[in-house]
Amino acid sequence: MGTRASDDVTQLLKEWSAGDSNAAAKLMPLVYEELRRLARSYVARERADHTLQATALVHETYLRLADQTQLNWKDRVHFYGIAARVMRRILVEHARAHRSTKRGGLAQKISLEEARELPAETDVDLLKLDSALESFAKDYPRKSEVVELKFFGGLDAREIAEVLQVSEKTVLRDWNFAKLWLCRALTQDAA
Amino acid sequence: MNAEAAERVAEIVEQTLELPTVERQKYVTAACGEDVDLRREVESLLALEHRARDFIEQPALAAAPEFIAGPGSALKPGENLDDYKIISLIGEGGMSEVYLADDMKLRRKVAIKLLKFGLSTASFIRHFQQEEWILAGLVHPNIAQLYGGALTAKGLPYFVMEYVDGVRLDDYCRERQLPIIQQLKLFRKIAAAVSYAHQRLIIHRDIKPANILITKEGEPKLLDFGIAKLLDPERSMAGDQTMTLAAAMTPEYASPEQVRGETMTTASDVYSLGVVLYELLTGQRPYRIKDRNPAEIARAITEQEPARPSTGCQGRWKFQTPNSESQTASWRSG
Repeated sequence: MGTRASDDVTQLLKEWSAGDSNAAAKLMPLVYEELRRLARSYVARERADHTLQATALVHETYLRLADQTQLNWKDRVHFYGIAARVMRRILVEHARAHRSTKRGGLAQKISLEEARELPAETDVDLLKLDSALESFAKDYPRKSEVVELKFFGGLDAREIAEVLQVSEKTVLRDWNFAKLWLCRALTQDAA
Repeated sequence: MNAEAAERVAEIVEQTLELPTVERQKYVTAACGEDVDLRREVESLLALEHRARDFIEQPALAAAPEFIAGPGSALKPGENLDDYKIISLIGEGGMSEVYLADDMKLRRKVAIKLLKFGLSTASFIRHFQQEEWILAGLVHPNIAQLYGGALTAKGLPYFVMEYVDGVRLDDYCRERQLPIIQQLKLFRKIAAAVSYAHQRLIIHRDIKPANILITKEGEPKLLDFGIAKLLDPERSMAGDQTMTLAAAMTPEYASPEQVRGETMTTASDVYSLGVVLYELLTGQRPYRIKDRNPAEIARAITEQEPARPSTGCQGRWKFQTPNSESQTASWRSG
């Protein structure tokens, strides 16, 4: 007998909360698929309020994937952690693909397409940020998680505090330090 | 840097940031003491305070939701793509967008199917050009002709096809309450078109009601013949095994070998045709599927024994005229 997707996700989140790290690996593709699907519908609707999107996307993905009635807040914050990591991967993979498309000489029949605007990019080089964040994580694992949750997952300080089980003040301190450290890493890289 | 030193740097920097500007210098000097390396590290970070103020404050996604959705975004009406001028967006699926366009050279309307994902590897491009050539040779009154295909500057594949102004097979039959005999006549034409392609060793691979349109003249047209194969060999995104293109397609009409990822043959198309016909006649899918979770659908397709259509269509024709009821009866006994 089959189960519903939300049952799967709910179960996996419980297993993960209980310390089964395999559950996280199984969750990733489910979250990945739903995030992409939702993002596409967001893009299609062309929502004007872009700032809301990242957070709303994560929340909506959670609502769709998990059975609320069976989960406690701990499962939910675990989900946020997964979602942020998935978002990071999607965004970085996409940035990488985008860059190689720009470089790689495609067999192009078409040139009239050039006028088409590329999707708006953040000012940050995501690939460089991603590798800087990896180095940062070696010395500052929790702080790097704060960055992942905030920058890639779109979560606010209160939510991050719940995920990491620290105070909001700690989250803000971590964040401010991480910004300096990463900004320096990217600046040095450019120089 | 060891973990302890790293922790010390963070501590001092964080503490300093919370102090009023005038007190900072004094604090840093006191906190670092004689440790020159520590002081250099702390100061090089603090120096960036102004510069880092807005750094990564906007979530990555906020600036670019298109990132996560994939590179595809709508072509705008009036925009040119090679020899085609886009008129309007006429359809959108998970994988592609379909536009009505003007072929400016040949002065005719065409449909352009633009994939939302780039598959821009050399092997894909070779494969694409090869298949495109074979499919363009498929000329049949009940198959929407493929005129050609190419890649956009961003490496997104698109197909130029005969524009069919029509209604989906299932909607057409339901809206007109088409008698069974008429439905079967339509279906025979569809089957003949599939057979024509099969004789040329071309498999559709994605037969479903959405790919069968009925024109105003009442003629069926099969869309997207062979397109699925064009897209099949490569994954949509490198390194992610769960996100194959095939999996993203409607699996409800797929054959067991298809959902198992095994080699497809002409029999796979015949199987899908059977599912379409089943649904047409009974108003139900052959499988009892609780939701659209692809794994659940795959399980049902490979494991469930479909209910006999004759058990499924009981009551289906009750609302119809006595005439069509008698047709149902004769079809059942036949």
